[in-house]
Amino acid sequence: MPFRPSKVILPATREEASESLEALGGGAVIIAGGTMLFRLRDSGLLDHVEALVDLSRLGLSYVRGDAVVAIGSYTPLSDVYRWIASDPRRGRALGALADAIMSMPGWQIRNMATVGGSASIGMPQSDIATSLLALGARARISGPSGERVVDLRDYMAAPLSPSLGSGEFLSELVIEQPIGASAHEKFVVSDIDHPIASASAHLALADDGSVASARIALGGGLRRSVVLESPRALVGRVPDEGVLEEIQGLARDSVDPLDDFVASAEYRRHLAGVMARRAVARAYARAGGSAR
Amino acid sequence: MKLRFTLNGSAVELDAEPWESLFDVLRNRLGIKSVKTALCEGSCSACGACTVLLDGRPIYSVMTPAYRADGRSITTLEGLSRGGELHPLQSAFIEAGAVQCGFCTPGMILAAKAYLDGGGGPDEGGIREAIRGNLCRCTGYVKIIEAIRRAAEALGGGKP
Ligand SMILES: Cc1cc2nc3c(=O)[nH]c(=O)nc-3n(C[C@H](O)[C@H](O)[C@H](O)COP(=O)(O)OP(=O)(O)OC[C@H]3O[C@@H](n4cnc5c(N)ncnc54)[C@H](O)[C@@H]3O)c2cc1C
Ligand code: FES
Ligand code: FES
Repeated sequence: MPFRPSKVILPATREEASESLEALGGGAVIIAGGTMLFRLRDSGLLDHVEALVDLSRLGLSYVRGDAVVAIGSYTPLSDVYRWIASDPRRGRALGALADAIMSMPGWQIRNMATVGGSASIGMPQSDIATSLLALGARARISGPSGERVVDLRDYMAAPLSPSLGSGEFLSELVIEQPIGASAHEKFVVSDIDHPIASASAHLALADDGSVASARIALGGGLRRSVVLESPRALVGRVPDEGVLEEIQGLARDSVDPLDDFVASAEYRRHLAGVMARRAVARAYARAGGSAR
Repeated sequence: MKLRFTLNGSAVELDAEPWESLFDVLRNRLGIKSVKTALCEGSCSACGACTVLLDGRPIYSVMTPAYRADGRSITTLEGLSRGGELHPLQSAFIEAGAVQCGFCTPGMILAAKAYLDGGGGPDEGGIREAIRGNLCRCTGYVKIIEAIRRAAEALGGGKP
């Protein structure tokens, strides 16, 4: 049997959504932008699907907040980008997410793909997920017994199977204290390929221009995403050439790269270091720092 | 599922299956021949030939479920001319020689329309980004960019 769901369920409330998901169990699949799901129509992976559960009537398309930024899971990435770009302070702090969105090949994809779908595919290849990891995003999950909030890292358990219990879905991504500046860098063979390597960096600076805190996320062709929390090589220091060299080495040593026809593991490992270095340098410049 | 939407200004009503894409419905059932496909949904590609405007925004119709059109407005190339008069983008594509085989042209024009309708102007960087999701295998893009620039100037876009 090919992909032949017999119905689309458009719940009007969160309770209804959880009830449908619980009742259908493995026969239901949540559809957001559909850019991943519809590409898998003929893959065989979705042949068991009996119903598409579409949460677009739950009012989950929004971006709001200042000290705490909340992004509804169904928000198209183009809307997220416009919200960030409309304010220079957001553009600095959430720059990695804006960079990641603009690194996608065109407005069509940005208009279709959602932030929640991008987090839920659970793939290190997702630029959006990599940038959200560097921003320390948390996933708000709605379910039959209310809400819970988990680290995005824990939510992104495995490709196409996020860590969700029965009747649960991702309702929102939460970024607390988006201060300082962040940037995303990736290396691709052509515009529409998955990145061979990618990195996002988020830095907060102290008054003297040194790095007060940092988070670097590594993605692309890796077995799993990597998050480096305030690496010792960076904190308390100004990212001059010597420090960037150390960051490059640290990133290189932290990844478990794929080895395939697109790129060897060694090449991906090398590029993980280079992307981390570039992301830190750009985030630092964006934060107003100068390594002179 | 019963769907009701506006297609190029006219009301449409039809039944669609949950697995059908908007492309399937537009081209195969409604006979909209400007919408084309290079089967990108199966090959993880993104050529842009299936581009349509959904409430004014460009999307790929092969990766969009048909039922998403319900209650919305779809524009295809067929909806651009008015009373036999070509849209300024269509005229500019002809004048600049921006069409060769024509396979990419409908998608290019719709992506450009969304850009100009959104206030985009004649700067090359903006135009290039606007058509980044559309591939052309014939022209080398130079004349396409030139056509969009001419249309932008004709329409006075991008000025504060
Ligand atoms: C040609 C092309 C190029 C691309 N390039 C890039 C790129 O350069 N960088 C990049 O980062 N991305 C890129 N993407 C996007 C990426 O590959 C995914 O397609 C996209 O992130 C999926 O988002 P979606 O909203 O369409 O999800 P869908 O396809 O609707 O769903 C994806 C998965 O998430 C689940 N899901 C969705 N929403 C929820 C929810 N709220 N709760 C629980 N589960 C949910 C679904 O069940 C499904 O398993 C590209 C896509 C295409 C088609
Ligand atoms: S058919 Fe190529 S992007 Fe739609
Ligand atoms: S004119 Fe032939 S693909 Fe563009």
